[in-house]
Amino acid sequence: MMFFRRHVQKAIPANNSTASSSSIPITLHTNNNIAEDEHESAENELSTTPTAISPLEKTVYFSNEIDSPSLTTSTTEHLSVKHPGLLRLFDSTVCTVSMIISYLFSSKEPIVQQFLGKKLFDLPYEELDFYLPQLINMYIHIQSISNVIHDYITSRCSQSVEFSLQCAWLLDAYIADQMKVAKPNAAVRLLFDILYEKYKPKISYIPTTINNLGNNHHRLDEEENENVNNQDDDMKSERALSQDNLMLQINRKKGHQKSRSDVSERSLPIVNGETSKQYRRQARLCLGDLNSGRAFDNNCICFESVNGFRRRECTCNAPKLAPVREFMTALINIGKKLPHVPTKEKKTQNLIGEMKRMNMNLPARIWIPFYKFPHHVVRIAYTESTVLNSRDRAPYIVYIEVVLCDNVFASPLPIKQHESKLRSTRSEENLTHHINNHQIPSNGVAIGGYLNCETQSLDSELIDSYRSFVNSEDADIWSTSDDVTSDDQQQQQQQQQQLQQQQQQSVARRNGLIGYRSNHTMNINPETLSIRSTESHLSQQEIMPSDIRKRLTEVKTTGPILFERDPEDPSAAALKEPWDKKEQRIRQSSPYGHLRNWRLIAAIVKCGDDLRHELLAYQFMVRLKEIWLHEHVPVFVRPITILVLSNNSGLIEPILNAVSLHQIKKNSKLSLRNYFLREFGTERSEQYLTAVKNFVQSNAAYSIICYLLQVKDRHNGNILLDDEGHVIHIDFGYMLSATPKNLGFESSPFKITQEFVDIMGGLQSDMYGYYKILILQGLLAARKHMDKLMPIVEIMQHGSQLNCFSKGNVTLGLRERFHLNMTDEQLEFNVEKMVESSLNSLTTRVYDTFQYYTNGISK
Amino acid sequence: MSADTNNSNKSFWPVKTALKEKIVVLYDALLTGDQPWLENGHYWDDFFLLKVNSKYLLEELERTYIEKPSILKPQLNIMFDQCLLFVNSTHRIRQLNAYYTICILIHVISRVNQRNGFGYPALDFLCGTEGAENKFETLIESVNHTFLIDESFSGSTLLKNTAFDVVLTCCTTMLNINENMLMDYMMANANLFDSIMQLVIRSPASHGYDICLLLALLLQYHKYDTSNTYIVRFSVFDDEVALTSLAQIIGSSLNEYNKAYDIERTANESSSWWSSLTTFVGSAIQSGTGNRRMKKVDDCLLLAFYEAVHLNRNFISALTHTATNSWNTKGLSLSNNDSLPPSLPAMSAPSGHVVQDQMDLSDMEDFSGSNNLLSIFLEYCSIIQQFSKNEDMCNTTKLCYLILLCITEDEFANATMHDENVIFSVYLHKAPMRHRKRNSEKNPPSRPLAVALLDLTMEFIWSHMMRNFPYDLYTKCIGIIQRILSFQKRTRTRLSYPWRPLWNALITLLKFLQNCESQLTKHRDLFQLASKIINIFNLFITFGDTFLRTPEAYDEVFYETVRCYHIFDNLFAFACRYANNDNEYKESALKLMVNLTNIKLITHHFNTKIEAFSNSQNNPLTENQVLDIIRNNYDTLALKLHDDLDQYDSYSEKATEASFFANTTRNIIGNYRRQYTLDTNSSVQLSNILLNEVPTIS
Repeated sequence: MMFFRRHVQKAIPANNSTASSSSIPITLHTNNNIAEDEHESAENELSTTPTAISPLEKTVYFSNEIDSPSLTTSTTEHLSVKHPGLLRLFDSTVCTVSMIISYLFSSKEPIVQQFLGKKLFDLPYEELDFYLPQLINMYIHIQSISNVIHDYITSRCSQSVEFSLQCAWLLDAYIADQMKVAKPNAAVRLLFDILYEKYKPKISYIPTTINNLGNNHHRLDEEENENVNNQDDDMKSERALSQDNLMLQINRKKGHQKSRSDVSERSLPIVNGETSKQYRRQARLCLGDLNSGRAFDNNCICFESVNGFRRRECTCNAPKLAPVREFMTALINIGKKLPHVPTKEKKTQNLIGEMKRMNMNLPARIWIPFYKFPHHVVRIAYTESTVLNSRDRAPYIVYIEVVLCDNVFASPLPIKQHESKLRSTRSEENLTHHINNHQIPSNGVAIGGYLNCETQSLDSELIDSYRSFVNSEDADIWSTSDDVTSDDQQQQQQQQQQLQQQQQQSVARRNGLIGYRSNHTMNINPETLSIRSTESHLSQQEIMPSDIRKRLTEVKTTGPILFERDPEDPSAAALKEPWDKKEQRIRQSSPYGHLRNWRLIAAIVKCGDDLRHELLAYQFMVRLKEIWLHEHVPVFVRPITILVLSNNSGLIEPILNAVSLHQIKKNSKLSLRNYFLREFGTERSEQYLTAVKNFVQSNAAYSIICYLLQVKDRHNGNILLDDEGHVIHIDFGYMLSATPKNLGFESSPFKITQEFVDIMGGLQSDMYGYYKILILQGLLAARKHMDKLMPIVEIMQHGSQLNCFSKGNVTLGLRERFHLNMTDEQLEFNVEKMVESSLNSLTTRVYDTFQYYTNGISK
Repeated sequence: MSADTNNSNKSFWPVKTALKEKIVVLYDALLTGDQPWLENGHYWDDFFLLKVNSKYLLEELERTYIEKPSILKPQLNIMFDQCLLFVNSTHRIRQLNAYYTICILIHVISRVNQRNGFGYPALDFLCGTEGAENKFETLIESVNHTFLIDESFSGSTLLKNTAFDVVLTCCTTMLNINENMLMDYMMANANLFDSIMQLVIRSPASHGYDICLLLALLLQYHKYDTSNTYIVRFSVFDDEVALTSLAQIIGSSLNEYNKAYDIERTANESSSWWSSLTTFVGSAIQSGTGNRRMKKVDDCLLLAFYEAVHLNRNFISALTHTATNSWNTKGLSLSNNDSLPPSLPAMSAPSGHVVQDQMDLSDMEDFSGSNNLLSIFLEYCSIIQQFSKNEDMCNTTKLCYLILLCITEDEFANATMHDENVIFSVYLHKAPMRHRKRNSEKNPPSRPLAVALLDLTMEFIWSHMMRNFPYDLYTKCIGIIQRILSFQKRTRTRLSYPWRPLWNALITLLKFLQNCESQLTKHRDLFQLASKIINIFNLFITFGDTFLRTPEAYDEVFYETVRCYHIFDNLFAFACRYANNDNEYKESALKLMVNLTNIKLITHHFNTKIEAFSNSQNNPLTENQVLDIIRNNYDTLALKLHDDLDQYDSYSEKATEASFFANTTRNIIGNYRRQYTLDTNSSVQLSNILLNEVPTIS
């Protein structure tokens, strides 16, 4: 009892801990067995106390604890006494994150758990974050563990918004089943604490990062603020002199940043600086209201530079998690609505409409979590979004334009660009600027105060011509990327016309625009440079209809192999288009395309499906991939990143340049082998051979995965083929003990059909043999590192109500499939047998036929 | 004092003397030239607290103006000043009544001054020349302030409505808007623009019509010869939310009209179909009467639409904005006249709620996806153009085609219309004609909007070959086709469209032009129109490789021209006749002959081949045989290259349509003024509604 009191007393004050820490082990040493028991109970007491203390105190308590080495040392010492071997293991270099997690789960001893709970702080974030689902699952289901990792999670939450978001989503997803049966527990409390931002994720902006990432950022900054930079020289000097003017510029800039003022046009000179400021303050919080135009704006203005100064830390109480969460909610809500729309075609139309509405609220300080580079979402390429194949649910793919930045919260957002302006946005700003010029002296009084220097009359035509004037300047600026000479001509032409009458000026505007566009198209079709349009000035030249027709025939035959647009399967054409082509095309049509750091990313939004299976499969595959890489087994696997948002919704990273076997067969009307020949060239060509090699290597990997995880529902719609010949499996909704509708089809270990073997070159071919060898090697490697694989599944099984854990002892089954008891020769024989049985499996064919008749998926 | 007024009023209100309202007593006291507020300290408080009797006040003011203007002037000035005071009061009833009173004052002055114009004398009479500028500035400021009241305030909608009444009364004092001096004050206080645009975002449902009307009028003032602040502001306006909202206001009204028309049409399909159609359109135009915020598609909405498309490039992207979950079309029918216009974006509707709403089967039809402004507008055009015999409707059709012309000149709009991902199902109404079936297919397949637009123009061409030939509309129609083709040529867009029906329509039109030579050449330069049509064929022939989808389509161009060679021959002969004599059309006839060169070459070249071939055969040739001949004989054919086939004079309002827009504005103002007399009655009702709300307000 003496010890207990002392221990508790010492734990709280942090400063005198060093002295006492040394004494504790001594007392412990001298104590007899009963004392040791007491000590254990004391430790138990201690580990449970935090839940009793009010949350605020708790964090203080823990933060003290973290700072002071006393307790850590003491548990270390305890451990060193009780399990010296274990301690040495944990401190050694061979100790991996995987081991720590698995010990944390398996160890029932509080000292060990507590030690590991502290140990987490030392681990690298990235490696540990991989096991976040496991940590969260343990937090939810195992109270003793939740106690020891609580402080780790909360301290990470207070450091990063990203981590808070991940925790919140995972907690939400994994608590969900449990909530139904039990009353709210610690995990639910944690979830709400995170959501209400009790841990105040800190956002700080260290200006040194500018220097590090230097150039990139500055350029971005310049591009964003072109309107300020690109003004006349005399104007610049004027601006430098006049303080008022400077203020006005700043205000104007703010106004155009859209986020603060309700009407960006407010920044026009008629409203002077003060009122526009006033409007900034009034800006209402409209999080989640897509019609407001500011649905993803949390009104945090801490990092906006004021007179060139920038704060280093966010001090306002604006919700930090809300913008991204609202964005995800918006995406999911659309997904929930879509299944009620009757046809595929209408679904896609609806989707495009919804995406356009989302666009009104962009750019915003939001990001797509599974792309790790910091970025701002600036626009959704809404016309590209399309519904994917699925019978009852409506998962859809969206293409999102982002701009890289160095800090999501602090870097300035790109200025809102209007769709229809393409790249010539600055015309408006410059017009504003000119009006500014004339308006300042006669503020508020003038009728007809505008532009009185240039001309006496102003009508719509003139505005047009004004724009064209500005446009021609634009052309000059942009000409670096376009054909310079033609642009110069364009400009000269325009400037000449500028001197002429108004009416012609307005023509010039159109021409300017047209000229700009045609430059664009020239970029797209360099070989068909529009000779015609230049010729058309030379009168009475002869033309030959035969040439015209020949060109038309060529256009038709030499085009890239693309899938035809099909209203019943709108995604096929969209997914078949090569990614770089798509990116280039979208970049050209995007008003943000000119930004240097522009990127296109894609995401599949799925709701109504449980993505937790997918997440488990993803983790499993990532580990397997590492193992294979480590063991030099040349197989190919492509894990698909998953973002679980709740127990029935989430985001999936799309596989680029890949279409499903079903879509291939339906669109090309060819057997797979012939399709390979058409896509990759003749049988002897290097490209074809590489593609076949890729096909074999990926097939081997997925055969192993499908076997180990017992992945079912392997119809052709769930197997993709990418542009290098790799096979990639998707949709791990049915694995381990879960089977589609529990029909018990698909009894074979994995899917390998005659068609696949045909691509490999037949049963006698080397490639087919290579395939079997790869499977064997892969299995051997997996078996060797089975300790890394098992915890992933084991931990997730704990307390889980996922389908895949519903029947039988899943982990035992998984363990058995590694065939620990077999010799290498036995395993080889076993592999042979499995391939044989899969190939001859009746059930695979039955299942494909079943899918063909029920869902129309090609055999 | 009151006895005195009673006497003078006897002829008007002999019976009701005893029952006179208190407000009437106050009016009378004022109109006799006394200064009742000197005796009664609460005179003005009472005056504005009581419900405005607009009818009485209007009549009395007018009468007094005619009988003794010298007495009236100082009283009016004082009234106006007091109104301005109370307009800024915090007491909502008084504020509302002050607004009403101002409306009446301005209206009376404008009515009695209609001949002289609303210039300085009228202004002087109303509020005195001194400080008039400041007074109106105050007025507009307070209107502005009222516009920005938060919607959650009860009665805010009514207040805003009356504020709209005031500015609209100011804008409509003269039929010719340029003669309206009050507009100068509007121009000077351009803050009004900001608050209107705020309103567009905040409450498009309740004020959509007023906003459009006001905007359209403001943009018309001295359009060409002086700087109009609003034109500048509107043309650079770039708030996507507001523009989208504006598009939805216009779109919802048009959509409603389309639906009403559809209901009427299907209802009458079995019975005497044709007669009911004409009566429907008549009734639809008048259906707005009696309803303050009326629903019918007024020209002012189209005018606002036109100005948006014409002036603001940013508006173009709002054209295809689909309002997915916000269209509450339930309970909308002709019978349901009292309902407000369809509620626009439910500003605060929680999304979860929306999801539930959409589960309703009745809403399923809304998933047709056609509820974006452009596709609605195309359907609307197809309805309106059926009735362009009617002069009024003809003007509306013209406005529609001007809008389409502006749209097809915009690169971004063209790109959107040709985007294969942006597809909509647009139902185009077709005029019933003896020789063809009506299209009964209710939900046509979704296609890019350019297809629908081309179909619309084709339908126009087919249905308007009549004695009263709408030359102007035809020019615009052909212009639209030319612009679309030019875009396709320029950007190498290969639209999937069956061109053959379009060629047939154009060829038939050429034939019609020749047949009606006698009637038409008197007024119109047919050769110019024919030249434009021929140019479209030349575009296909010379640049087919840049925008046709298949080589077969190119063969078909030749097939159709060869098939109808006699029409082209006749046209050539027709042009020859005029080119050889001296007449006003000589030049354009010559030009037409030049434009026909290629077609002459083609018909001549292939006809000789075909003749040679058919002579060797007994049976008449099949289409495929002819196509074969064409395909095999390209090599020996050489054509002339024409200049600038894809160049067009870009649309310029000032040059060609100035008088049309002046006239449209005049009609809109006249229309407003006609209804205004009715509105003053309903204003009493409105203030009644407000009175019912009193407990909740103050």
